[in-house]
Amino acid sequence: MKNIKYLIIIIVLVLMSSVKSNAQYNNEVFLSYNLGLPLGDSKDYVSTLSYIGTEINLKRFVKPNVSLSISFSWNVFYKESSDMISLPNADVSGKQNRYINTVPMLAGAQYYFGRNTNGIRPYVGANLGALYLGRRLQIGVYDITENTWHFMLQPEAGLIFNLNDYSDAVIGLSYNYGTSSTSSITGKSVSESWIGLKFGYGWKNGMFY
Amino acid sequence: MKKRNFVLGLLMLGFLAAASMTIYSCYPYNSTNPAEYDVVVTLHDALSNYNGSYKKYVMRDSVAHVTDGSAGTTITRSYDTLIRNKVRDNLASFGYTRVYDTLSADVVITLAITNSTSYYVDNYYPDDYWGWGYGGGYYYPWSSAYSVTTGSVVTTMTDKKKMQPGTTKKAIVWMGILNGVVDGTTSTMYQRISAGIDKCFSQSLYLKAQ
Repeated sequence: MKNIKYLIIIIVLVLMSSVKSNAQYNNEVFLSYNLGLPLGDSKDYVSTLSYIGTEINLKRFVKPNVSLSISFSWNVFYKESSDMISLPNADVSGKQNRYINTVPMLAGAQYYFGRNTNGIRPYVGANLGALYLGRRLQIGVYDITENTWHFMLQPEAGLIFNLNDYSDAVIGLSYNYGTSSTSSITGKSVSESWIGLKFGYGWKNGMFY
Repeated sequence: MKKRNFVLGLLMLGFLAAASMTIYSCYPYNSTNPAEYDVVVTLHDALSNYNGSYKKYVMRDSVAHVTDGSAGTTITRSYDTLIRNKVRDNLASFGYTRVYDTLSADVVITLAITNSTSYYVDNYYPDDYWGWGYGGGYYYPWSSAYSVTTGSVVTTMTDKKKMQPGTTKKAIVWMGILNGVVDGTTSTMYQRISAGIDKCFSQSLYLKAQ
């Protein structure tokens, strides 16, 4: 946790300095609160909504209607469960705490519809990159954690609200898919997928100087 | 206007960062109720090998006690009768008939209790902090030691036909294991053992004789 905290702080500082030094480019830093609705194998493991998540996203507008982005985000899915776990030659039951910790690190491009100065602008985008994933199972006195890396795809769509010359707000919907790997907890090949909903605030360049 | 936006933006950033860090620390798993640490594990053969083929069983009256040998880990005999009766009743509800002649039995049931004590030392290294006016600093790390005694009630079913006298070849076709923290009053231990053995069977319906 300590490392993640420092990583986020460093990223924020780096991105802010980037905004200042590249003022001639139309850059924008977004911070968002993220919700996650698990799907597929992720839902089988933790079926409940993740309301714990955040994202930092740096966008560079290379054209008025096109931006390139780098983003780091995080969502944790948690469920207390008593469901039986079926393995190839065993069944296990007991009170469990199940976690999926997701840290997508993505690069992508977005296209914006409409004029770039005022009002509300719909956008669509596609991101790809790496997903750092932690699965954790606490059952009885046992605690099993596995950390894995996955290739990740993330199509997205949303609305950007121009608040003023210095800031935007954003609402975005995304489909998140991490490629499969074998879980040492369940012994099965699982992929990760979830629907993400974010509410963000963006600082345009010129904000911090 | 610009200054106001800057302050607003900074407040938003601080709020999001603080909320994320705070929430990340919340792992809600600190139950003090020993029953919530009970786990039931059943190990089985290929399910196609059952099909009601086992109908008669033979079971010794004694329950084997196995400890890790450390001081203070002897096991009370208070639960032997309960274990024997719960296994007998569950097998009866599955349609099994108890026989006392090994030759006529399909399976052999053996019962055991085990316990083991583990000792742990945890070292805590708190995050350093940022001070206002006095500069940042570090908290001292601290340690705590504790022990946990866990126990298991193990029911084993062995296919008599697969036994090969004179060899160590295993012919076990099913095991039901209740594992938990050895703690609590005798009455709660009774309830936990009783519920655990029932659970072993209720999640193993393939064992039914019919």
